[in-house]
Amino acid sequence: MDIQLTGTFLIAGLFILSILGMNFQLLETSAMNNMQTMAQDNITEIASILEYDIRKAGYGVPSGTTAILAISDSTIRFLADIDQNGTPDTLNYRLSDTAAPSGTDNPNDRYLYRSVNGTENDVGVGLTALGFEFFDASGAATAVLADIRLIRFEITVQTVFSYNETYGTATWQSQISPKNLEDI
Amino acid sequence: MGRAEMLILLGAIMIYGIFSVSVNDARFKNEYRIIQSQFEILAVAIANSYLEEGKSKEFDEVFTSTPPTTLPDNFTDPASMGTDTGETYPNFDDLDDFNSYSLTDTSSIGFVYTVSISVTYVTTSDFSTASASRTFYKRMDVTVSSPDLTSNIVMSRIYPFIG
Repeated sequence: MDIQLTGTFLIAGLFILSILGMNFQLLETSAMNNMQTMAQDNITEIASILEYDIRKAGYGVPSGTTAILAISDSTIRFLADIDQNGTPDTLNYRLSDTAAPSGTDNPNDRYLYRSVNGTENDVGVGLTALGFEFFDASGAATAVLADIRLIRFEITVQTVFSYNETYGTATWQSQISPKNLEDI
Repeated sequence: MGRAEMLILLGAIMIYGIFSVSVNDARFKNEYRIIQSQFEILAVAIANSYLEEGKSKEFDEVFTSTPPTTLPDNFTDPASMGTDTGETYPNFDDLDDFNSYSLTDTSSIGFVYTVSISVTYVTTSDFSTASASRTFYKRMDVTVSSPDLTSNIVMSRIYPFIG
């Protein structure tokens, strides 16, 4: 075969392979962008639910009653008259284990469970981390329930499916000093 | 291979090289933006949490005790905005306690950030410029800066006095 023809085929082949490779990379980048957006959409929804409830901690709770009932690194249980019926409700937030969301590809995702007076519902999926920190009026970390004035939480959400084993990830951090905790 | 064909081949390689570099550059910038957006959304969340917290505080220190009758003249002097004696975050009781508040912290994903807050009076005719006199409106500016951000995140909110 003509050496020039062979060379042309080789160069053209390499060129086409490169174009295909770049096209694939662009698709991957586009998919990652979409997944990132999904994770960010999801995390803002979950954060708004958490922020709304935590901000209400102590609301409608009789004076002298400690509104924060139990805390840990990843759970919180507190009193708040969330339905404004004059009776304080008990709210609890916790994460499921990783086995609970069985229909997702992500092996690390969990449900976020919110319970009101013992009735529990999942309010978010895709969470891979939920962390709480608690501070007193002087800004020092505390585990004394009655002293808690500032609650900081950080959540990480991943997409429930991956693209090339990569998940869209978003992290949200918020700190709330519930107004009604000050009056206890 | 003739000289003309060689030149065409070199030209093709050059065009391909430029194309390849441009695409890779675009990919790199895109990846960078993805990482940046992760930090930016975190910075926005942090800034927003302070703005939300401001809503739960009294408009002015004067309302933490018996309110004066002459307003806004009895509000805190613009030059005296900031924490009062014995007040430390989060034990703030009014909005302007946040003035000059600053904090450097690290999130769990290693995002090192500094929060700086300023609170000023503003007027209805110009919400963006600090007023040198007392008014019924205060603006809180929360700036989140970090070596991981290409530019600072600045979020503001106007808090009107609702008597």
